[in-house]
Amino acid sequence: MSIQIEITLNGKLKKLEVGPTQSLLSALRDGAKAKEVKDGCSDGDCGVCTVIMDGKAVNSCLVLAPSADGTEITTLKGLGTKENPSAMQEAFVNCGAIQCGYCTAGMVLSATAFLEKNPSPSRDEIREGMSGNLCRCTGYQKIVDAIDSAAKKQQ
Amino acid sequence: MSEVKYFRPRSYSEFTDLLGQLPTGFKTVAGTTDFIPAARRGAPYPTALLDISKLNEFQEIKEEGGRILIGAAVTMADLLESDLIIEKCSVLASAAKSLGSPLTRNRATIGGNIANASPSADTAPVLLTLDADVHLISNDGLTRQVPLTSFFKGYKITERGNDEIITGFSFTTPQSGIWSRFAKVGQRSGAAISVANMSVIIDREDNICHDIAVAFGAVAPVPLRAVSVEKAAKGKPFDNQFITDCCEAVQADISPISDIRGSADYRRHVAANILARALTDAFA
Ligand SMILES: Cc1cc2nc3c(=O)[nH]c(=O)nc-3n(C[C@H](O)[C@H](O)[C@H](O)COP(=O)(O)OP(=O)(O)OC[C@H]3O[C@@H](n4cnc5c(N)ncnc54)[C@H](O)[C@@H]3O)c2cc1C
Repeated sequence: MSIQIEITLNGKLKKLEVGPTQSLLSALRDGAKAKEVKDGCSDGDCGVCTVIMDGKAVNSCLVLAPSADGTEITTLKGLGTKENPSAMQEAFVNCGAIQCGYCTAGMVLSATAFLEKNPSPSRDEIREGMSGNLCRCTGYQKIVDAIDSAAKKQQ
Repeated sequence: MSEVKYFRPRSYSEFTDLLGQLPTGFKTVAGTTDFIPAARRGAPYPTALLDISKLNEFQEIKEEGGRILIGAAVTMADLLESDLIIEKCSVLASAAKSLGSPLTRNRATIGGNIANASPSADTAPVLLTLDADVHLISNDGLTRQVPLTSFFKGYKITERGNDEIITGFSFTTPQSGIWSRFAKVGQRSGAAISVANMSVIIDREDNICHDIAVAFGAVAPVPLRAVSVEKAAKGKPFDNQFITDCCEAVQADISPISDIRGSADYRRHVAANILARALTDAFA
């Protein structure tokens, strides 16, 4: 059974053919060629595949692709470009919050959705808000710094 | 696998029209935070998927005639942001807040948490102490309500028939002035499945425990009401003996196993400790 879905991907309408049990992660990477969405554990534990779906950060590996029909999805490419990065992207660069880079796409998207909800968080709230995204390099300190500085800049 | 049919009704009338057409062996899904990992571990795919995640009627939280009604597709994020739940049933908000990370909470539904029937399901002890009813509809359109206290039958076995869908939950709005707590012990906040969890609701005055409901999860094959604790506590004055009696009684209620998250012995200690702490705080 092949299912037609229509999503708004980074502001552009996109039609995709998906399977009933295909994940949104696979539909985005293989169907929509949105390779900026990374595949980590495929099990909802690491947060690498985070996208923002209708304003909420979710693990795209745990969403059924047909279930995303009609939704608005933002990936890292929807936040900004190299020339014109979002405040959060810039903060990650400036604070040295990136080492190997594998978790970064998910981190920046989670952090962006988190600040929408909580524009002036404490450092503890940042840690709690980011608890679904794992990083094996930075020790999180600089990631928290980056989110903190993006929050302060927004005010 | 490619034979799996997929249905996603967008309105209640579409849902009821669909019921009769569902093939035997269909499965209801919502947030798929349990369904997808289970499938990855080899759980067989059903004949069809009924996706209820876009059904407005199942996403409602409301109060009617002194009862709180929560739709099956209400997510943990919805619960912990609901003014009604925060004001009138904070113990459920606190369980919702403890489940997984924000990423999981944005998807994980209350219906999925109960239907999946993991012994460690974090909303289960809370709904047990609230004396919640589970609302079910079968694919022939028949509805019924089952008390959650008789819903869990054995490890991952429930009263729900294969052709039945959970539509929601309801319970009497807790009185204002009651004391309540959800407690959870896990290995890491953010992604921790409970080693033990507990919900306590107490109606107390001065030093007397008038009424009490206690439930535990992850310390038996099913989430359960701690009936021996309740019996030991009801009507009694709070003192050291009260704590000792309750912590002794809890050992008769639970039957923990050893697994990767903790030993049976550790779980017995943890259950007594979180209970003792809650009772002490309730009467402080
Ligand atoms: C990283 C991670 C962390 C987690 N942490 C926790 C935790 O701390 N505490 C905890 O309790 N759980 C945890 N979980 C488990 C899971 O998120 C919850 O159990 C969640 O509430 C399941 O809801 P869902 O909507 O995703 O269910 P789904 O995956 O959609 O469904 C789960 C099961 O229930 C059935 N089902 C779903 N809805 C219905 C319905 N309305 N009627 C009949 N059957 C239905 C499905 O057929 C399936 O068998 C975690 C999961 C992940 C991936």
